[in-house]
Amino acid sequence: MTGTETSDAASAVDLALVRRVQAGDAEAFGELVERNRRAVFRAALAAVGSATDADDVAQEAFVTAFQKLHGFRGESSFKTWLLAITWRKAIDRRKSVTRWMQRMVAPAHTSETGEEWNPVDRLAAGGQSQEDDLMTADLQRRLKPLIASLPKKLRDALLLAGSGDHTYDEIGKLLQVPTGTVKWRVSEARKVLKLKMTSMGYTDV
Amino acid sequence: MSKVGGRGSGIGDRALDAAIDAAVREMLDMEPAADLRGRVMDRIDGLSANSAAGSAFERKLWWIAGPVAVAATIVLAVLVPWRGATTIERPPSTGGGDTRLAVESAPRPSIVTHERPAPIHVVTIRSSTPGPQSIRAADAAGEDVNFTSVEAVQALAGPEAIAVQRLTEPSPRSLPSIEPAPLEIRALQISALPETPRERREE
Repeated sequence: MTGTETSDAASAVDLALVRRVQAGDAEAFGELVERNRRAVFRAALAAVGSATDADDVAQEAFVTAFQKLHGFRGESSFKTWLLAITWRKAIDRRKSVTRWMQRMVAPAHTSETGEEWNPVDRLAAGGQSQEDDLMTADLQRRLKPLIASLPKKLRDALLLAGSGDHTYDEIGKLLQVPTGTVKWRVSEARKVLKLKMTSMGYTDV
Repeated sequence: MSKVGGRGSGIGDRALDAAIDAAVREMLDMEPAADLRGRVMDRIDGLSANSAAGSAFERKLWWIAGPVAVAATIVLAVLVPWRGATTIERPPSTGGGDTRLAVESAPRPSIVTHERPAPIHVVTIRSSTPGPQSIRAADAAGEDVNFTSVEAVQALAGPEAIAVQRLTEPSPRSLPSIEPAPLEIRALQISALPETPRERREE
């Protein structure tokens, strides 16, 4: 899905593709995968915390969506419907994955190209001074385990909202809670994190 | 911008919010694998192929299993009544050849033996079912031993009719009157209690 495409226009394009698939054009589903793979992957990643698991979940979600597509009536947008399937799959996966915490707080990550990279190096490439970069990197390094240790409800809302791929409405439908509850959970998550950071010595000026 | 520092350093609320946002973005800053679409489409193709193969197999299975099921139903429908008829007329399970063998192999309750050594008594058994139905001992007076003959036993006569006398109705009895007698209530005398508890105790 392109960044310039509005939500309504994107939904209309998705719906047209869905109708083509329902009419028997399986190739149109490939286009739906391409348009939504990033959002699906990010939602799965927010739940399972591992790129490998998120990739598996995304694949399973797309296959399941294809199998159930004949029952899609267009009452909600295809993306919302697809993300709901993804989220259920991801939660199932999360229940069976015990290494979530270790993966989420791992200091080094592997990029898509397979290279290991460090957040400190990444931030240092920006325009800030080296000292600020290192301090910011230190803060983020400390924040990640705190985010990972948040209660699931708060963490899910915070990560989904922070991904930038989903609106609050979409997150609400995903988590099956009202939009206001999503906003409250995000705010509460921030509050908890700030309290923890304060207790660690990061005090307000 | 508020200063972001290490342990014990001052930090602004906005800076902390920004740091949280950055940390969240970084945790999710991964892209899906480039071949995701290809893998999904391969899986879908596989599903379609399996589905087609499955439906073809099912069609073939129905073509074979359908006639077999119909034939089996017809055979059962024909054989079941015949089997019921032969069950009624079937000879003893041990066969009708050698009566002695039949006696020896018959279940224990159906065997009738006599302790006297001679003459040998033959027990003839005829039964429509494996259980003992009728047993007839040869005449104790000395019938010759005949191992090959099987004597037919007449069917047992039904029990004689039992005459039951009609019940006689009991003669009506006159019951004594059960009218209640008038109650007699004796007059009660009520005396005054002592005034104080101490007086009551002393009394």
